[in-house]
Amino acid sequence: MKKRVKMSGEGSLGFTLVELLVVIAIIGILIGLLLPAVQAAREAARRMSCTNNLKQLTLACHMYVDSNNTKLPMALQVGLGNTVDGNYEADQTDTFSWHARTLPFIEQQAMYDSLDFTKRVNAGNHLEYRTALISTHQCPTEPEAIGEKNAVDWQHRRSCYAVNLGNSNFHQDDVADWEGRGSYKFKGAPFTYNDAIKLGEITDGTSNTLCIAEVHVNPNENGYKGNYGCVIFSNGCGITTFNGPNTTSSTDYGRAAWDPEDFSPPMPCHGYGVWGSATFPSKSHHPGGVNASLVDGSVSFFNTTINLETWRAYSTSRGNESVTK
Amino acid sequence: MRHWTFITIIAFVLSCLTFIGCKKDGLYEITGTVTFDGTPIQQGQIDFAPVSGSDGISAGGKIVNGKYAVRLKPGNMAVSISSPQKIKKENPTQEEIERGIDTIVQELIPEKYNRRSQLKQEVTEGQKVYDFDLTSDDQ
Repeated sequence: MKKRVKMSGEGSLGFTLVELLVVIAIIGILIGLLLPAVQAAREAARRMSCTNNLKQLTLACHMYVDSNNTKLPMALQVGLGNTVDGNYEADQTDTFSWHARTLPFIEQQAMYDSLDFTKRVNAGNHLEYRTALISTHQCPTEPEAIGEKNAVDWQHRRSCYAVNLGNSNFHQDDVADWEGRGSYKFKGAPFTYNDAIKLGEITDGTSNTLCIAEVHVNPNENGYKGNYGCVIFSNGCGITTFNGPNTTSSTDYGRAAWDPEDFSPPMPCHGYGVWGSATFPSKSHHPGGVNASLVDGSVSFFNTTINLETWRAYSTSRGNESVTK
Repeated sequence: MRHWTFITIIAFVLSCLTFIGCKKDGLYEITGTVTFDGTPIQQGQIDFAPVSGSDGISAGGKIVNGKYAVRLKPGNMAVSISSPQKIKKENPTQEEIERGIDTIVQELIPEKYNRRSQLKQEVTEGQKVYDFDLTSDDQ
């Protein structure tokens, strides 16, 4: 057999060390160029999948409208509708959010049939619903997590989509007396507590009003603290646009409701009163902004640096603003 | 053989350059020191929101050992500063201990700097450092 490779110096057919290094360097550069592109493509695919989830959920809301007298699902029924001295029963805010009410329209009829809307979600009830991983409720970019994993009575799935509760705070108050930051009035939202809004009440137009937006999932499964995305029940079912998407601002303006470590804090768990003043923003891990759907069923990507006025105008249902992105 | 070495070096430099130069989102970073009655605030939060409610974004950052850094859009900003402290409840119930909710939160900074803040700051491009000296006395 003929020897192909001879030692250098005898008119070599082999490669020298430098030639090999060059080849390796070139391969390195090519991989270096390719890898970020592949990662970006994967992220783009995940974002598209998230967009699809938002679309499905918004369509589910529309099907709910069709079968419920032209009304959107209520965001949450606080205190199972009961009040004490005019206040909702504080320990009964762990109730079903719009997620549960739209289940039949994302092909989860069996899950829906297993729910008892006259009972609280947790405190031992509805374990199957609380821990179910429903793919339409999970953005692929966000981690999958269950909060309070150590307590069977309380553990809950943290998922990624929350409805639009308007431009001020969770109570949907006027911001007029929040001195120092300009007065700001609550100008309507397509979702609210204990009440279902009719599509016709959205006078700004359904294509100018946010429907559902993304929120973070906190991967820390110990306890309820930091549970961004406790959205399938309780007050965490909605966002407000007082702060912009992916804001670094604290969500409660120093209202002393938080622990020191909770400045970029959780979606609320339960306890209507304490959380009511909060202004939970939409957040996502998609680079540069968040996905959000409009009531007309379209889904858009909103940049982190969107003008605050524009973002707030998008959330109001009767603000009379003309919005252009 | 020299030219091979040369090409290798060029290739290496080019591959390095590929990874340099990202992170441009049009935001402007400001930093500074926050003191309360002369002492730096150990830990807390500082928030900026456009006074007009329009033009700009709301942004904030943590205060650690009196220092903060925030990325925002320049403009006239309403500023709020808070420093809540965690304090153990006196008589927590068994359930509160198990679920880790046996603490209450106390705000160290007076209301006039956070929930009823009158503090405003014009943030202009060209100036990077903004210090805030807070006092507890009422004027």
